[in-house]
Amino acid sequence: MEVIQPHDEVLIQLPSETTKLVKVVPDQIIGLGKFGSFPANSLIGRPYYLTWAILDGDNFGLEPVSIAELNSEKLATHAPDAAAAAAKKPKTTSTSASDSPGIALEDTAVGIQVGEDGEDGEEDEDVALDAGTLEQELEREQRAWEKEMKTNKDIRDDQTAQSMTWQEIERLKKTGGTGSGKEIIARLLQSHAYIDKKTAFSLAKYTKRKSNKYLKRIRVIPADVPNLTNFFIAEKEPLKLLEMRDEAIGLLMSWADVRWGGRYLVIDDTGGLVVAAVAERIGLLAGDDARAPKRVSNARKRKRHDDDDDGADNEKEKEKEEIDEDEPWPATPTKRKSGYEQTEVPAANTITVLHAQDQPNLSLLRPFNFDATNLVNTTTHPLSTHLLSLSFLQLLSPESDTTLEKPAPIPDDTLRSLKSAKRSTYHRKCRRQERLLNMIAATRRGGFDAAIIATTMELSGVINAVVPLLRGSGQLVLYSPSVEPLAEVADWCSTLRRSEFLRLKQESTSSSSSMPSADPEKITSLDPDSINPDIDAETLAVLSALPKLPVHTADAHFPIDPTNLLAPTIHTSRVRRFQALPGRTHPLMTSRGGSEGFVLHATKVFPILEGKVEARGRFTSNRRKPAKQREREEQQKAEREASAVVTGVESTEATSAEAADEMAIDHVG
Amino acid sequence: MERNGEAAGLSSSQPSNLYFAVVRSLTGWKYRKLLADSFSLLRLCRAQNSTFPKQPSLAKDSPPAPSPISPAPLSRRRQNSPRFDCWDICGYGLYILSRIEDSMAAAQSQPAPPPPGASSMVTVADSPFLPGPYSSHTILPNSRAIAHLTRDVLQSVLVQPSAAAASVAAGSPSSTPEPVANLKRKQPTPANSTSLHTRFGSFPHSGLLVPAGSQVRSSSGSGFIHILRPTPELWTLSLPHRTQVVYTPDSSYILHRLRVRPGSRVIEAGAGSGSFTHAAARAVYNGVHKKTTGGQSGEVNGDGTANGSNEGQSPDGHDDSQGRVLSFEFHADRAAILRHELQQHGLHSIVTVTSRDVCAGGFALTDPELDIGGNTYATAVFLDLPAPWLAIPHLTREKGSLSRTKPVRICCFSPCLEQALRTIAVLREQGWVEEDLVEVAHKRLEVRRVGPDGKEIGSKPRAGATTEDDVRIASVEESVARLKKQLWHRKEKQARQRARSAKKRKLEANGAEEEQQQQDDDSDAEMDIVDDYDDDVAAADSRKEDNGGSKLHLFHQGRVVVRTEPELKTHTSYLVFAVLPLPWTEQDEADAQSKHPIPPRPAPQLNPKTGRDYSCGGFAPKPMTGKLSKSQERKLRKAADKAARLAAAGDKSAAASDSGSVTQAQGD
Repeated sequence: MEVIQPHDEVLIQLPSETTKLVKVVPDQIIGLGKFGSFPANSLIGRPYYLTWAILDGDNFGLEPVSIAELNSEKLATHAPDAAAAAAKKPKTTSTSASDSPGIALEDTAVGIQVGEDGEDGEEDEDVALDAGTLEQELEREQRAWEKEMKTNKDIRDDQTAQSMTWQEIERLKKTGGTGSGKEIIARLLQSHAYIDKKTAFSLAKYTKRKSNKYLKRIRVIPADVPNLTNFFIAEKEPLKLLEMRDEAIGLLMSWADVRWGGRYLVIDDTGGLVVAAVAERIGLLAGDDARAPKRVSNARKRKRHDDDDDGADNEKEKEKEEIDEDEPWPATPTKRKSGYEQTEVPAANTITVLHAQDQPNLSLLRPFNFDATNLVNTTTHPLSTHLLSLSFLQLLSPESDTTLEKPAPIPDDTLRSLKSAKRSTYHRKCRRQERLLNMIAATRRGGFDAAIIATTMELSGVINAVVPLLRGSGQLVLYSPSVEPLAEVADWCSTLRRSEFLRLKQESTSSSSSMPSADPEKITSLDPDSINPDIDAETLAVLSALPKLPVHTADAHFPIDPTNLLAPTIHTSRVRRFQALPGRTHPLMTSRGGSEGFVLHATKVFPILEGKVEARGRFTSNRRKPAKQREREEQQKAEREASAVVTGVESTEATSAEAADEMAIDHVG
Repeated sequence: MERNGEAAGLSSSQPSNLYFAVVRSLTGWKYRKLLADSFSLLRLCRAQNSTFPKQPSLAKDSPPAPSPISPAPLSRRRQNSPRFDCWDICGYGLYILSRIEDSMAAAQSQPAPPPPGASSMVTVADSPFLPGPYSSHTILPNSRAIAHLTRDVLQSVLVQPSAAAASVAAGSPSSTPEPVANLKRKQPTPANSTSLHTRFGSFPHSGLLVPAGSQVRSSSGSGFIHILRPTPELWTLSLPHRTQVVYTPDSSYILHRLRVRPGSRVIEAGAGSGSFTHAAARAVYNGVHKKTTGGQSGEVNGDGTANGSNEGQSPDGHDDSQGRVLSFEFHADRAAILRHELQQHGLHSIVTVTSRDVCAGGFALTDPELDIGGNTYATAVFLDLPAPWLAIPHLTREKGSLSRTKPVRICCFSPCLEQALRTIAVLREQGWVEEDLVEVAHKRLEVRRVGPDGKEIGSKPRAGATTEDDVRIASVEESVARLKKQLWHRKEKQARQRARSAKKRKLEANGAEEEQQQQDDDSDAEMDIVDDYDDDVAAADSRKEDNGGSKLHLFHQGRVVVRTEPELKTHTSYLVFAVLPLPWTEQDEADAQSKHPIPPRPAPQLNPKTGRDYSCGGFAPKPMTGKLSKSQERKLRKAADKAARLAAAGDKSAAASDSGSVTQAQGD
């Protein structure tokens, strides 16, 4: 059963249409501010996506709300009848309403909840759905709508319409007990002066507004990547995520061809959202290993503390922590090397994160029970083995990195005499160095299936570092909140630029004169000036044996090597949400603005380097014939030089099947 | 083949060297290259139906690795063939790699409680769409590749270098013509063709067996294409259309929202052209799980990452943790073609295509021969049907079509709003929640460079277009200067004309010196022409200078502009999403409460400052830390004094009710 487990992070949808990220710790209380509180135990073991009513008064806990009830409220199938009932009733009870609310309330509550007319209405609908054809039903709806049509002609916009005072509401809240929310709403409807004049839709809207205010209903949804994305976009700082929405993540993952068993290179300035999305797609966030660890060490818990603003939880947690500190870490003599302790790097199904800082910022992985800064607690998490992180320094110039220094070797006999803590520290340091070396070697060997880049850094440098590591036909996928950086990248690969680049390159190779812009294939080797003297010879030998990456020396005209990337294409996608209620369907009136979110993808290809590269295709067009003839003459003159002449729109205009003509084009652009 | 072995740093005559190399590969990286080579070789041979030696059993519970002294697989092989050839490299390399993977998997999957379906073993699908040890970086015979002609024109090609293989494929019962999906023109290629014909020339298939991503010249050498490894996205752009296709912007969003992950089971009804099928197959793929542990040739244990194992613990008794796409298509021919395509693409073990009208027949797949774990038990449903509301009532947990252990998500793909609304009504009736109606608006953008005159840089001037039409003014300054020049010129001309006519009139009056005057007029006219010509030349020169004058800088001119693609899909379909939560009964509630008892409501603890209850999520008072400031001390003293005074007064009047105010004072 996929149910809420202890220590899971879940998202709670509040009646105010906001969401809250909550950790379900057993025997604790989850407080939701003005909506009250409930014990975490009343969520553990329950399925997701159910709606619960928070009990108040003496009862403590949650009560399920049936889906039928929710739907009837949403569709307002009962509303007109309820309105009628409410309209009739106040006239009889209005005088007594203020002093003896109890009696009047019971009546109205009954009238609204189980109105007989309402039941009839629902039955009618069922019959219609079963038997009626679409047309008939539509007609019926239309007629019903016209019949019910009311206007707000007689409704006066003033504050006196609602005769119920806030003091009365407060009193009801205090005395109410479980059903107080419903009572308040019933009373509000009853004491509204113009309730019978409201249209059905307006009444439904009013009721919904009031239920959001007074009914303490929550829905618990799992904290998976799409839900968390929406949560962070709506509630937290969307800028921190580069305003990456679901649509963009979908496009990124699809175009990057993310699948189980692949190797992916990720540059992530969203704090870990992209990594989480990739990890979810390659199955690293599923399974029992990805669950929250049973024991959380103190360091991590203390860190949690600072982030957590929930006072009550803090108190409880502190107490628990103190207990934990007394317990010794269980000694397991035959502990297997696991997780981060493993020095080998998995050959497949990995995410390699390149980061600009000393440490990657992957704070968003914490809801997925993985804390990159504190691996000790998450050794069993699949990410601890399959998430590899390298800084750009470690990738591009590992010989000058200080983390590759081996600890000073300790001879075996001294090691044996050391305290166990010191000994294990020594071993851990050795392992860390070995693992890092393996990671560098595996990354430098390249062959990545895709590079997924969501960064605010200058893209030319990133692309130059990343593209040589891709395998042939691998995908380069870039995300940017604004289109300009991506447009620049597309322009760097423009057909004109590429053909010029090739021409220059061929000129330089034929004349063997070294032009700075046309000689990009510089070979990296260990730079003697930047070698960290503390790295031992063995490690250096491994480093110098690493495959050399082709380096493109960027200049003003060719920031990236334009021949390696095929058909860079920019996409943008936006989802438009609708309110889907019968008779009231329309796109939502408001939604989030901000950046659109753009995705560029290009394919890594290997150009033919020697000889001429030229595409001659059959194209047909009357209009362009003179131009083509001119070109052909030029070409004959230049003895078919290896420059691809450009057309940008040939593919769209190549349809008319007249006068086939051969022309030189570069069909890649 | 020999060459290949040598390239990896080994000569075939030194088996002991090979052996040590292979053993070293267990620990180091040095010889992984060799193994990769042998893999590609191996697959090449298998594809060409060559006789291939039996592999050693690679099952997880196979006997441990042979001792270093007598490598069993090698010696067994040597009995059959006297020469130690590259098949040994392949076979043994495979074996060793599997051991490596095994040890890695064992190390990774930690305290590894054996998954419930432990008898099943994971193998890797042999598909160019999916990763695996076979997915070498080169295009292999009998596999799909995508020829990239232009950004918009992609052509899929089933690479069949030998005519024999092609004819075998053509002779297979459900053969389909090789799909050519140039959307602009249909040119059916015969299935047994051994070369690819495009508008850029023809490409023999044998020349396409290159590393993926390579640029390939046509046989005539005059054109080129790029050969790419197929992905569902590229396939979507190049597949033969049988029905309307679900394109990537929609399918990526749908799969993301349906949480289709490795190990998921997806129902897809209305498979159509198979575009969504391929995308879903990639998303659910978590290796091919086989119940039998028999060592089939070439089986390799996959990466042991735990995933999808939850499904195996289900009370339904089905222990199938493999990700699956259960595809339904009511058009029998389309279903057959799709099945054939999936077979070609190596996805047949992941996708089960059923020819059935789901609106009438429902989704249950109880046929034991299908080997899909008893029934569909899907966690995600995608309905691309004209009337999804007829199919939705068949989706129930009771009938086994939906997972009984997980929430199920659905997406219905309908082009019309009426369909979508009706679907939502039925979904609500059937107890689905979180219903959401959305529409995906996707745009592809074009990046161009536009020069100062508003024209695209690099575009060729249109034939027959006169330069006069295209003269555009780039700036206000230019406009002012130009107008000034023009108008002054005209004014001068008019002045000259007036002077001339005045002269003429004078002459006519005088009637003398006619000849000489005529010559003057001519020279004036010539001068006008020369003036105009000079202006034009100067303008043209300056424009050339603006453009940098040389071709090198042409691509750097003007500014980068972004605009939407010329043909925009403004509407594809309405997407209806919903979730079916797991049922929750009174009994479940009681069980859960006995497991995790619900404590009674704690006594309210009031924050003395705010007067609110902080036991239930309010803000707790901050504990006093460190030394108090002087003002704080003074306040506290005052409060204490007041309390003492009140207490004294209370003693007198015995007013116990004041104690409340005392606490309040202390709190302040």
